[in-house]
Amino acid sequence: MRVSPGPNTSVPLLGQWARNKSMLRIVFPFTIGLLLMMLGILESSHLSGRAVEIGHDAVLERENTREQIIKLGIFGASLTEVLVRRGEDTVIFLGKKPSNVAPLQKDTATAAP
Amino acid sequence: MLMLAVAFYTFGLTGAGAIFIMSAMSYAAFARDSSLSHGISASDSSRLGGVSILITFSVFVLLMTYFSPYTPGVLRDPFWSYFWGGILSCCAIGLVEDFKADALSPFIRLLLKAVIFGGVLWAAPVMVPSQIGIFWVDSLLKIDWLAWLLCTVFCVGFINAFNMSDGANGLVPGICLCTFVVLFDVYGRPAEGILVFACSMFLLFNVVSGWFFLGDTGSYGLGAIIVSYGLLGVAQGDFSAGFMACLVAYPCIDFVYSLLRRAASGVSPFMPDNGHLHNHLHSFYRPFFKSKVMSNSLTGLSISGASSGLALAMYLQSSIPITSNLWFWLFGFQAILYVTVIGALVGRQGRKAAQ
Repeated sequence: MRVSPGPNTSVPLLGQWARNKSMLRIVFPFTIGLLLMMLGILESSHLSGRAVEIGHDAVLERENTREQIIKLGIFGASLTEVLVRRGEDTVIFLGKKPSNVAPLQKDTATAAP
Repeated sequence: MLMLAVAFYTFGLTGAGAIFIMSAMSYAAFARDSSLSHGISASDSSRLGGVSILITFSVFVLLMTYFSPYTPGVLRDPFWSYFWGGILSCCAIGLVEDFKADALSPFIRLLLKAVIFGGVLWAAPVMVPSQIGIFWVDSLLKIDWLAWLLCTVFCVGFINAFNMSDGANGLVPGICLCTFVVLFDVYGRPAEGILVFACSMFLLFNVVSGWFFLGDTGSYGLGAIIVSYGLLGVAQGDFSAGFMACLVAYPCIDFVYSLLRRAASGVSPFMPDNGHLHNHLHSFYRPFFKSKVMSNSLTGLSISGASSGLALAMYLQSSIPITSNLWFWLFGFQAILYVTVIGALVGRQGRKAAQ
């Protein structure tokens, strides 16, 4: 015999799901992980884009500060550097080079303090 | 904490994020394997290792697409949609198996993989090499339909070999990491860079914690990626077939040796057993370590380091050009090394049993 669910079934189910500790053990670190990855990728693409925009080939030589390393990591910064170096040949970072910014000009917004 | 610290130091926030995602997946109560179902592992672990790599890779690609001017290849060129479509289809077969073991019979899985790769190679014939540097194979590859058939059979066989060799922490991820480092160095595209990242994070997590099995999603998916890149690279002349064979020597040699060994002992060549080199090497290491994970991880790292790591080291040293067929000699050396080591380990175990 089919039993139809009551009208408010979804509300207590949602509450039970939220109180379920084993579910929280999965959802909480997963969300934290997503946020951290988002911040890291946002930062690395921002740095790479800026580097290409102002005519630099590398990120490390200019951005090697403690804050940037924490955001990107050693390999992350090196990886970004490689991606930027090859950015002209591939479609990785098609940074627009503004005409009013001279090549090899220091980027004061993200330069080392 | 150690994993988090290493990931944070090496890949920054992105690395730490990937470790959080992987630890979340390892807590999942579903898709778990008991230690009894694996020859080496001493504790119950999640089968979702491949799923966690897939999630990390997908999240990275999606975030890069939104936060940077990067456009994924699948949106730019139909060829890459066939290429990655085939890989994701193989992942899907593995995913079904990981969530419901034996949902598909071995024959159905084999048939599905053959259909997928047959379709991909039919739609993208640029992936079919016209020569690999072995005279009699080259003469067969000159016939178009035969070349397509041989490549399809090779792809299916390679993915099965990859699945078969997945038996110790860090073994398949180590082989994949070495291969992806080479591919990233050769092509330098973001997709290869993200594969290096996802594989490094999984290798770290797998070797330190031992909480994950790669699962069918991982072994099918990673196998499909490597065989697709390998075929394309050889067809385009970016590297020789011998070089690719050296990078993935262990799965290939172990697969052929296992089939021969089982056929010689009169059992079905496709019947799983614990007679692989990694099983014997683990039995050798086990008495030396108290930790259950240590001997398992050391087994995987030893084999991946001595096979793919050797090829990677020679590539980084520029010892031999990657387009050279001289790499076949190194592959021969790796095969001799495999047979010698497994012979010595089996002999040692036989002597211990006799005492």
